[in-house]
Amino acid sequence: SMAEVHVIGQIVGASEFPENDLFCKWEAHFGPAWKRLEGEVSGQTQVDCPASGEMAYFAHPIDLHFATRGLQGWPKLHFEVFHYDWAGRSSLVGYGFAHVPSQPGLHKIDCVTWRPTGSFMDEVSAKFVGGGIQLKRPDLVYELHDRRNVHSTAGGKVHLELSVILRNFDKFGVEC
Amino acid sequence: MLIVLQEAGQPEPEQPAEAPDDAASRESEKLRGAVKTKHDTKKRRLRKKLNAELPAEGELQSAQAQVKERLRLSREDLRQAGGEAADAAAAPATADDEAAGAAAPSTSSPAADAAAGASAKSATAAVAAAGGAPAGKPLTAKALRRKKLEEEQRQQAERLREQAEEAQMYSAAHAALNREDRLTRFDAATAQELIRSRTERMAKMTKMSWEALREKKELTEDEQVSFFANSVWEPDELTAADGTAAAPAAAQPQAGADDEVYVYEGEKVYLHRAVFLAKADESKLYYYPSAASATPVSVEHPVNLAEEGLYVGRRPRVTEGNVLRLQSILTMKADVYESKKGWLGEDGRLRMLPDPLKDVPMRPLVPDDDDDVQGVQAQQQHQEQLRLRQLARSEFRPARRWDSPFASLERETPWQLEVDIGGVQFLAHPLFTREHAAVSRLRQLHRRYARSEKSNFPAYFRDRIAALRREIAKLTQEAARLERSQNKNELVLQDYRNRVDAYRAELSTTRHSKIREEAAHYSLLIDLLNAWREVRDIRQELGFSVTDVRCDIEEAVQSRSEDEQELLAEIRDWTEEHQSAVQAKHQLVQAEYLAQRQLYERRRADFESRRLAMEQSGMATGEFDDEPPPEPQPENVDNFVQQIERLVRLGEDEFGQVTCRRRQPGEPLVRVRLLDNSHVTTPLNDIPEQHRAAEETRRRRMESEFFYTIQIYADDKLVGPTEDVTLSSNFALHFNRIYLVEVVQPPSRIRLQLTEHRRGGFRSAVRTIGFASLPRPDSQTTRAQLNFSEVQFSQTGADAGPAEYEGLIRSRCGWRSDSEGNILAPMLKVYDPQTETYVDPTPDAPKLPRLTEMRDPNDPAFVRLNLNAALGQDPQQQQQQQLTGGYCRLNFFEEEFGFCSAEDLDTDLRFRALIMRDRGDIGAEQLKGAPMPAFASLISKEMVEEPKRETDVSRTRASELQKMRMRYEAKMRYVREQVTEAFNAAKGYRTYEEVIDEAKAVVVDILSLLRPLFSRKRPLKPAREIVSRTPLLSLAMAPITLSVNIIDAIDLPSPNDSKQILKPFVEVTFQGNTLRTATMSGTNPDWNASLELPFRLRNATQKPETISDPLVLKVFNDRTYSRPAEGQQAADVGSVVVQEKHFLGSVSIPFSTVYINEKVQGRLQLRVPDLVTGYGGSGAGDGAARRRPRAPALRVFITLQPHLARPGLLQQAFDTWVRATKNTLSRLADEVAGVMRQMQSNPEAQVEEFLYHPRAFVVSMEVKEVFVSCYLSPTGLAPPAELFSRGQEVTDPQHKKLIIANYVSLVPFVSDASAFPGLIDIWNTCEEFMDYQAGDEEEHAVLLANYLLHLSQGTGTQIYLALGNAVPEGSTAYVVEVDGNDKYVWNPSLGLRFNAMGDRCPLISIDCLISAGGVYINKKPFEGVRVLNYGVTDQNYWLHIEKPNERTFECIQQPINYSGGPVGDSDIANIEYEIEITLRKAISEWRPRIVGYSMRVGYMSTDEILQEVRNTKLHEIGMYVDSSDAVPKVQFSCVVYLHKYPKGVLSIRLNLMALNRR
Repeated sequence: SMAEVHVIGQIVGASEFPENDLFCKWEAHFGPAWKRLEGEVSGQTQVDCPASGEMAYFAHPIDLHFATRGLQGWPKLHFEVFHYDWAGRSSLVGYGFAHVPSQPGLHKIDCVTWRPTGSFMDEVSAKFVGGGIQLKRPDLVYELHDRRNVHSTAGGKVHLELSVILRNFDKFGVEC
Repeated sequence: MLIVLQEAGQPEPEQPAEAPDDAASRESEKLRGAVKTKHDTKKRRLRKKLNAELPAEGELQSAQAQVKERLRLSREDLRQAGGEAADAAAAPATADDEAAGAAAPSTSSPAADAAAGASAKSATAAVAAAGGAPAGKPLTAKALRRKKLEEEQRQQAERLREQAEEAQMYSAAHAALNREDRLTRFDAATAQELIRSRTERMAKMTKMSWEALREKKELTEDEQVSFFANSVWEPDELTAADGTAAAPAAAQPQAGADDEVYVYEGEKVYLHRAVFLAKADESKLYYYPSAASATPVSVEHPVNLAEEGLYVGRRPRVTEGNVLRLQSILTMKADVYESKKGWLGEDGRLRMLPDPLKDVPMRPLVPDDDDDVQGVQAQQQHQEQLRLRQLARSEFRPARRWDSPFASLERETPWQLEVDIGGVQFLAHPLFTREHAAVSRLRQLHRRYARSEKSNFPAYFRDRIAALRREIAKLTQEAARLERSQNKNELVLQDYRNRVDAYRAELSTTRHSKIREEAAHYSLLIDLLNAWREVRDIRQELGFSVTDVRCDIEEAVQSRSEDEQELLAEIRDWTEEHQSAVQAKHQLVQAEYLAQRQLYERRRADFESRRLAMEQSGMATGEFDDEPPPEPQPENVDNFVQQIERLVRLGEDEFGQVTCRRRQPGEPLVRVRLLDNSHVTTPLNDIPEQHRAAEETRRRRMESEFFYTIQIYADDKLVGPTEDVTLSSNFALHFNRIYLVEVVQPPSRIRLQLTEHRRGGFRSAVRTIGFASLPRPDSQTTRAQLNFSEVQFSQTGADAGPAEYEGLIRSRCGWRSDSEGNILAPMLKVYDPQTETYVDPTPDAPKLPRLTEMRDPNDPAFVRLNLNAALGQDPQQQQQQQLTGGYCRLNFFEEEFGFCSAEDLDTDLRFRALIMRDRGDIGAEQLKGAPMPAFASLISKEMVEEPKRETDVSRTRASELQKMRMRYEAKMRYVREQVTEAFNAAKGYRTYEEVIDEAKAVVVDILSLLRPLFSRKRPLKPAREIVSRTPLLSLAMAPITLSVNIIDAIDLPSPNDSKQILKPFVEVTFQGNTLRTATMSGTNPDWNASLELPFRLRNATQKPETISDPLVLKVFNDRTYSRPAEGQQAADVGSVVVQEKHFLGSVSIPFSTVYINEKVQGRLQLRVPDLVTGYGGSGAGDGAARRRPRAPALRVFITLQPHLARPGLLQQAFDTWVRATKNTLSRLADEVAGVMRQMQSNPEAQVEEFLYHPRAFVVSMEVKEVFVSCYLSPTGLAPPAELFSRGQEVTDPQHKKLIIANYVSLVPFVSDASAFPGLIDIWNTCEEFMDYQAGDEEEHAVLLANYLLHLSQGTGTQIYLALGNAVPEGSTAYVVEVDGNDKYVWNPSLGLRFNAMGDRCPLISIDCLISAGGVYINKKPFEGVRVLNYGVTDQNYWLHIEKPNERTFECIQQPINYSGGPVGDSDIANIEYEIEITLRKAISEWRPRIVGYSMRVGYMSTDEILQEVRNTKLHEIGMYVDSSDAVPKVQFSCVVYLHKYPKGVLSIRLNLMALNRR
């Protein structure tokens, strides 16, 4: 029997973004030593337009089941948070990623996000017209190469609640 | 013969104890006597010694103990030696004497006791000694003991009496005190007793008084409370109760002696509930105080146990409020807590454990200065405990280096190393005398000698030589045998020879080694003897000894002749071996020489002939000047033999020099033993010379003045000094301690530092004299697993002379293991600079080289290394680098750190099952409703096996045609996989409408409320019930039947014999089950039969749409007639009745049609053989009037009972997905969808339950969505011209059409539905269709439509592809031909044309018509084929979706290349032959009889043709004759004709005939 990881939880919501009508695309990324057994590794939440309060609630379920043959490439979740405006356009307000905790148990994670900033004109046009610049390659969110070229500003936070269940790790000498 | 030589270095009059002990154990009678006398002398000597030492008062005790010990030892020796009763009897007597003598001077009784203890073995002697002292004369043992016992008893009684008196006094005093205080107390024991006896008496008494009170009926409830729980009882009452109670004694005057335990306080007595509630039933009587009322239990200290002198400890502080609250709870819920009565203590307070924390050690410290060997172990443990405790109590933890690689390994409790220091043996010491030095040398030599002796090399080499010789002999024998044999294997022979050579070489080295080892041992022995001689010389020279080492030398005399013989044998063997080796070598050389010689001869002959030729031609010639190869001479072995002789005999080498010494023949075998502690040391007094004695005394004093300590350093950090140890007599230090070192980081090494300091000297005078480094043990090694290792140290003095101190430190170091066997050690890792990682070096050594191979070229640290490799200095390395790519750190990590391989993950059953479940391949039916098992072992292999595809093509002789079909299947499989993938992706996709159910706002419709009022009470037309569909899940459970209703048939062929009446019946076959209807009569019979066929799935996982079994309906004529009997029975029987079944026609419906369409309803046209001999008026009438008979048809209603849920949704979901991804088509798609929704929401259509699927888009083979018009070419496709030029040119367009339809229908039909479970229909282009020679309705229809388009070019005829519903196919594709007012419907897979308006038209409804220009969607599909009447231009009936004029919508059909099919002429012949042979064989097997058919089939496989033929039941003709043994005389004829059409389309004609001779 091999080591297995269950990641069960939800994307609770997003807060502290400049706008509150948000939705979020997410994807789980993991190394080649990992094998997805069950569950969706990517998805998109609905648009939440909170009538009151600062936070957009998604309550988007995440239920993943992995088998692994190593600790390398421990799964991480990355997010793209979009603002859905009154005209039906969606503009990016944040990128971010968070590692799935390696300790079993329930974890509340706040994933901070950032968004790339463009030139002055880009910002001005984004301010008035909407839209804004996005990454060409979204893998830049969780890969480390070429990030030094990116100018960014802080976005809000994506709130996660993840339960991690590990199985058979002790068999391979991993204490958890 | 063995002689024991005893050589003592010092003249001593007596033997040490060990020697006789050894001797005595041999049980020699003679020796025993000698021993006894020796014992006597020894005892005498001891006694004398004792007397001599008496004056020293202080040493008396120890001396006595010593004497006793000696006595005991000697007695035991005697026991062992003698073992006889006589000796045993003699022993006590002497022992008594001695004991009496020894004890006589002592007067103190402890001394006597000690003597008794020491001589515990012989109790009588001890008693005698004890008793002997006061008596002054020896008594018998028995008397002594009795006396002692009496004395003891008397004393005991005395003591008891005194104690009793004391107790009395004490209790009296207490009683007085108690009375004075009016405070009742009792101790714990009494209380226990009271509680035990209380229960029954209490119950009785309470009840009595309670009943008495109740009789008065004067008590209110409150009073009751007071009575039981809260009552204040007068002291008088109590005393009265006291009187009644049976107080045990005046000494214990306690009020508690009563039934209750009362606690006095002031004037009140509180009832103690905790004691009261002994019985459950009684507890009901009592009232429980409310929380509001004050708790009755006092928090004062009515009984203070501490004052009683009992130890109570300090109670933890609890606030008063909490105590009150808890008490209240306890009393309120007494019934709950009843079982826990012990909540409150005797003092009325809650029971609480005293403060568990202690600030003083519980046990006294054991002083360290006890050097008792026995106690060392226990003491060590104790010390460890203390140290641990101290460590635990220390407030501060040492800071840790978090940047250290072991940070993660560090933990709260430190790891524990055990350093076991055995001792130190000095090899050189400033206080050494000459003798010491010599002894030290002797010791070292002996150690080596002992090691050599222990390894017992002569035996080892002897055995090895013997084994090698044996093996060589065996191999040579084997080789010889093999060489002689007929079929010798040269390879095997060579292998044998090689092995023999190898063994010979080995043997030679072994012999040499043996000689060398023997020499080494011999010289060691001689050195040892010399060293011993030196020691002895020194001792003799000085006249005394300061060391106690002694040598035992055993000499075993060997017979000279035997030795000689042995020697000779060895020389002989060796010589022989050498000779054979030389011979073998010579043979090889000789063979080589011969070969060379041959070569030489040939070359020479060549040269000669060439020279001759040249000479003849008059050219100058040279001489052949090559020398012949030298002939090898056999090596002379004599020289070597002499050499061996000398070597073995004398140890001389070839130059006559003695290189090794060995035991000469006749020389005795000498064995040396070194004995320590042999008491050869001369006492100081006995040293003869005065000045030497003084010197020796001084030296010995110096010896005892120095102390030695070993400091233990862990990574240069002092972790603990050992205690001080003085030198023992032979310059050894005995530590024998295990020191615990607790580390949070594993040290890289443990260093021991031996220091010396002088007693009374300054601490700074400590001198370090030696170091020893212990390697750090690896993480798996505990101390116990290691052996002691000896590390040599040496310390030179100030001047660089010889070593001042030299010695060996005996120690070991390992991890500690706790009581459960866990090793308290971290997993150690070492830093590998090349990979910049920490790796575990110990367990897998082979991994390390791999690590070193890993080099990152980007790392500047390895530039040089890589440069070296690149320069090619190490080709192997370079190669390695090329192979591995030089570096790949990531992969390296993954492999190294992986738990398992990737295959393990892939093959794990459970994971596979989980993935399949995730994909939906495994459903609840496989798991049987249970959750997925948690372990792979619980999962059966069958579950995760991929569903096997049926491969019927397993012929060895696959023709081109079959190969092609296989290719098609492979392609379809590929397409299916792609589609399934796309479908899986589509499954997750939902449209907004699907996700959100936007419920319409509720509008209260008044009319609908009123409607029931006006509705008819008894509706004449009952509302139709929708049949509920059974979900697939329950398929396995419920029995499912295929219900076939055969209503009637029309236009059956009538028999040619007009006298006969057609008696048709229908046989239905499905999955091997056959049912038949009753026999009717006439050509238009009316059966109205309902047949129920069982339906079963092959296994639970099979999907119903993949069932390929067809439902076959066959119509037969039941012909029964009588004819005269034949043969011998003819006279008896007269005539027999013959029953025959004549095949009239059949229709086959794939099961998938029934399943997908839920029902098949309507008139099915029977498939009739082209010619049914004897029926249908064949050949009757003239040609002009020959009306083609109307095809017979069968009206049926077929359905499944119960209905199964259809897999229809899948198609729609897929459509949705495809559409959503292709934006270009969205407009059209929306239009279609809109109409579709409109249609489906049409209530009328719903009532009719139309299968309405108008489609504008279909999926092509490339899994792309294609507008359906693109499949039709505006000009059509040209049919092969060959079709029309057979015989004479066909010009009639109608005839052409028929020919083409016929051609198309001959292309084999392969259902897509079964190819794609889940009904994803794939449309192939005509080219693909023809290339693969397989397709279903739409492919046939598209091809036919294209051909017809081509033919009808220029005429007014319009050709449409029609999608709609037909019988029996269900949802299918037909071709519609509109020629003015004539409207025809073509069944493309049968090649038949029907009048669209006729009653036989199989097309029931049309969903849409497709032309090259666009799609016409039928707006009123429920109108059936009638809508054709209104023309496609009618906007009311048809919605026209025009084909957009874009590039993407161009026609995708390519002209078909007819030249060259897969079937060659030879294939044709082959197939023809095959079919014919098979049929003949089959018919002869099936039992033959009459009638004949001519059939025409397309070629797919012979099996199918066989099926066709079998369906005719031709073979059964003449079978059923009621006379049992009437021999049927039927002959069959069978003709197969195969015609090849272009592109390999084959038409097969079968003519079958059964001739029944009448």
